[in-house]
Amino acid sequence: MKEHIQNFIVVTIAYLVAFALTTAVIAPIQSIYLSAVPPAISLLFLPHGVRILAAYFFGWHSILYLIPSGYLTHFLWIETQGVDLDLTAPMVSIIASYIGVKLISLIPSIGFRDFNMSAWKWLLLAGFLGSIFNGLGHGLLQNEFSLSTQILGYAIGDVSGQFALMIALIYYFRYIQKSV
Amino acid sequence: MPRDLKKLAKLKLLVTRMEADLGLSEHSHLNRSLVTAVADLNSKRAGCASTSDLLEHPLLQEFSRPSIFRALKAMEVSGEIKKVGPVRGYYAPAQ
Repeated sequence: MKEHIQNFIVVTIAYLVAFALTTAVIAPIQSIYLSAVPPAISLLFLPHGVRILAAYFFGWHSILYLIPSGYLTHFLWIETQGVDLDLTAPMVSIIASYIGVKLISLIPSIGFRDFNMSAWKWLLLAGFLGSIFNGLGHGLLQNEFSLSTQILGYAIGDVSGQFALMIALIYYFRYIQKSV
Repeated sequence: MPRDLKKLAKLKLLVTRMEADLGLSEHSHLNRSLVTAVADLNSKRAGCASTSDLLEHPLLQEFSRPSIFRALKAMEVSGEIKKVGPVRGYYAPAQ
């Protein structure tokens, strides 16, 4: 039980920090320099990286860990953006990410434990798949499909956000190593 | 090993591999700086760079002496640089 609480706290903090950075730092910069991109689409959506890494490390438990932070940010997003999103949207995003990672882990030669295959590249592919499922799921919820915004927009933003988060982890570990 | 430590190790392995693949590791940073310093000294000092000149080169000031010596040896073995001249301690970029 203690382990689940620890994991839950780590995932929740990581998700909330990633969401705060995306909305408070990345979104304003995007609206200035890339104003043609719809505000609903973040071209560097860091929380997707948290969802994928959580699914990779904690399996199906990640779904439970992510629900509170997913819903909290969902309501914050609705409040600040004034958009109307389905109540099940956060669940769709969380489950889509889990399915993306699960599908990739089913390829026997990759496996969860095999690091000789550059696991990070497979995780990016899992992030891409998860993002596609997420886009399709949101399309179903909103009853409209747009290849450019819902599928490609999400995929670009999610995968680049995941990549940026993983790069940030490199520098985080480097910083920790130097400060110890 | 506790499970949370295993997960931390797994995450560290993941990012270390990513760091190496993307050429962002400290090791590759030292290697790149060393090759550049050898090439720079090579062009200034008639075809070779001495170990003492390399240790004083501005590009290598952020690295420790043992790290530079280890990198020189490893890069000589991997063929990235080669020893030149009749005495020890002189290097040139591998052609």
